[in-house]
Amino acid sequence: MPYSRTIVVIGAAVVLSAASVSIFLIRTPARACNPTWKVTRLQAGRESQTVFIDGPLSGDPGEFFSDQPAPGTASYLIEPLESPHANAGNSLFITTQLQPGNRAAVEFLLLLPAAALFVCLCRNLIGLQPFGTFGPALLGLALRESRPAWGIGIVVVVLAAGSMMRRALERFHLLQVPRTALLLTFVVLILLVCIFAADAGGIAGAGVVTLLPLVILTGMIERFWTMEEEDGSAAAFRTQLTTLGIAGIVALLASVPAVPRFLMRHPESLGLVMAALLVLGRYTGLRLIEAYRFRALAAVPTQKIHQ
Amino acid sequence: MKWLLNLRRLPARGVLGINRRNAGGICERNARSLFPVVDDKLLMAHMCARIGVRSPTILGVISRHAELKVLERIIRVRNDLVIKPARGSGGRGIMILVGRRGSDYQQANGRGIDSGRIRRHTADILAGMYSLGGRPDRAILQERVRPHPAFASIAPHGIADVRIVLYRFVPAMAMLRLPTLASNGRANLHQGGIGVGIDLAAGRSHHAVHRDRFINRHPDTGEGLLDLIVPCWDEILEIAQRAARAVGLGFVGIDLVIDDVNGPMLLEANARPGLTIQLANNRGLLERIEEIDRQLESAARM
Repeated sequence: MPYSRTIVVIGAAVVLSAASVSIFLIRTPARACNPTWKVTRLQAGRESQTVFIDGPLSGDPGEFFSDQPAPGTASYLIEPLESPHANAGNSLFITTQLQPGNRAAVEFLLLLPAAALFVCLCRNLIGLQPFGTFGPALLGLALRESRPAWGIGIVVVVLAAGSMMRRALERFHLLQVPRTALLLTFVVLILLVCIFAADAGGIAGAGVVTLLPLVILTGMIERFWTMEEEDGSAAAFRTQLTTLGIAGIVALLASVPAVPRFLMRHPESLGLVMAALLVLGRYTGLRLIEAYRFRALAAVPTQKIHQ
Repeated sequence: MKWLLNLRRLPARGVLGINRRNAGGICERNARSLFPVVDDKLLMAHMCARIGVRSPTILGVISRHAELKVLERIIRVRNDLVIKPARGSGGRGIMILVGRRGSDYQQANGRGIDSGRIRRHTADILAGMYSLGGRPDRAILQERVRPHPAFASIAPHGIADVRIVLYRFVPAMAMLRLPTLASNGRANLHQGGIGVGIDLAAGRSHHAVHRDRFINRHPDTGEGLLDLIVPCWDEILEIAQRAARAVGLGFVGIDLVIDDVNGPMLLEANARPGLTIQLANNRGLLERIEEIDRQLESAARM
């Protein structure tokens, strides 16, 4: 039974990958054969004239302009464009032509499954155990929006101050839900201070901290505290570090410009992500950490250990 | 980095990993609909009563906030008890009171505690702080098990318990779990408890493991941990089998304690038993599972 199930899953993964790759192949040549170019003539360091050219580009770019400047005085800036013409015939999901606001949203949405896949790899292949299932993925993607060093710094400040607050609240015998809401408010307060400080320091765009998944941060503080009580500080700090590490790597990977660019050009790669998740879901081998944890079992079996 | 080679070596020794346990045809024997019974200690206690297996007496159940007043009245009269979440896991949220200390109460770990903190701890249980998925929970007030003298020297800081892992209702592996100072009175291995592998046929200890390393002596007391005999062993195995059949899980961990007066008592069942039992027994579970499959098949043929 389990074998036939594995075959079905692998089959579905293959179908999904094949579908994504064929969409990829169908869309790509259309763009390559029928590009649109923006040709700008620069004279004396200034833009003097711009034309848009359909089709293959060859020869002297000066030929595209009606008047000819004196030889040697002009240079040309050629930029590829992705116009509606370029993708005529398969206009599905042309994410590059979205308005800026929608574009950012689509980019975030496309990155989320990829980040989730990364978290799955960390958990099921390596065996890392962060706080929360997709908390690290969300945190990582939020960090990507800010300058990574700033983002990590703010998160560390929030977590440290929040944990101290949690410890202080213990004294007041509060019920769980109001206590968590109080922590959330405290986290908001810290972020507000950060924004005002950044604003006073003349740093614009500090508003990105509001993208931080506040509820997830609050949950992390609460779970950190519980774990510290139950399993000791070492375990709690180890888990916290794992969480931040995974979030940091997600942020790093997602801020490599090529990654979101690829996903935006090829949203069909979600199919590949789904295929990878399906295969990962049937992975029944040992996790990397288990190879270490069970190392004592790898030795030649002994009947009994005597001192 | 030599341990990376274990990725090849451990499967050859029949070691079961978490992924395989959760997905690879082992926990697939466990229908999810059966989980509520093992996840809820109250339902489990009812089941024990039905099949005639002893379990620690339940003195009371606190299910609503308003009932916290009753709690204070109960502990004033009976202050030798255990307060635990009905749907807790991994020994979390369990508070053990052993008696009075002035106007306060004494916990099993030697620390004192006032009634306000007991009440707040119980309120946290109700709010779901220790329950699976953080869902609102009930708090169970349970009779405290009196430690069996056989374990007095090796479990001075709490109660030793016996974990039997059963596959297709056949005992597959057994382990004695001992609390240490580091584990704060709890016998859970990931919190620093000791796992002692028990030979299924004889009830005799043959390996011991602490923090994933083999040991021969108790790290706190220096007592030898090998060649000990677990009392009432046949009865323990019989109870475990009866309980496994009653909950209907094909792969299950049954936890028992041995009370000084009442003998073996069923504490709880676990639909996803931990895998450190393999270290404690220096043997892979997968190897045992295949052995049991073969035994049952040949028995069916006859």
